[in-house]
Amino acid sequence: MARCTTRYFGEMDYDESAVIEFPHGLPGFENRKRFLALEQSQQKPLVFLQNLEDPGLCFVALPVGAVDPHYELQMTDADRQLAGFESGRDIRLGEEAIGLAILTITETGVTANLLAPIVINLQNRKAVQAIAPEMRYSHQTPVHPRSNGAEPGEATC
Amino acid sequence: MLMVRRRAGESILIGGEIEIQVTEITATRVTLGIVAPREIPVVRGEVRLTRDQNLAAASDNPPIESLTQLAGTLRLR
Repeated sequence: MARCTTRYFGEMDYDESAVIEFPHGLPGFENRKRFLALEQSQQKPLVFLQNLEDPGLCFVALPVGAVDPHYELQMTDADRQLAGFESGRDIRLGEEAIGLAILTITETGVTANLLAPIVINLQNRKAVQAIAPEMRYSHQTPVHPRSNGAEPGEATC
Repeated sequence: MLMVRRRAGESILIGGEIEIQVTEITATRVTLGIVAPREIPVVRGEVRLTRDQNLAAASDNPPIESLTQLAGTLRLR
């Protein structure tokens, strides 16, 4: 077990086998390569991508299917290679891989980057921010929570 | 912005070392060949969109209470 400081949840213990490695980092964060994907019951379905090199860096994300149930993943061969996927084969999200859309949360609303999802290969824990070869999705896809939503803790499902 | 009309097979030069060749044009897309020195990175425009979006996402830092509330409303959808 190792210990890290997180942006939102104070100090946490983690197992080295849980670390997700981005071989090239992310655009804008090329030197940030080791992350944890944290899920907390109070904040489900949000996923926190906590960086291990910079405790202040934590992306908030949603599974791509939670943003768009019909989402179709497209990856360039270079990105497939980086994360250790065979080229030309469909990647089964939710089984062999996880797809997460990074959220941008401002006072005017919440958007998700479906143009460039984080794809995590569950077999080797390698990940890449896979900028789609075609612009079928926006980097600022609106996320619409119900505005008359309940107070925290009232949700039952 | 400088606008230049080109046909397949033609090219433009930027400075002395960068050449952009128009290699193929179809109804919906154009294929470009780019010759540039190794130290000049050549990437698609979407890379900058994603870089800027990542920087914005990392700097917004909403408090955990508002994320708990957002999560609650997402669960109700």
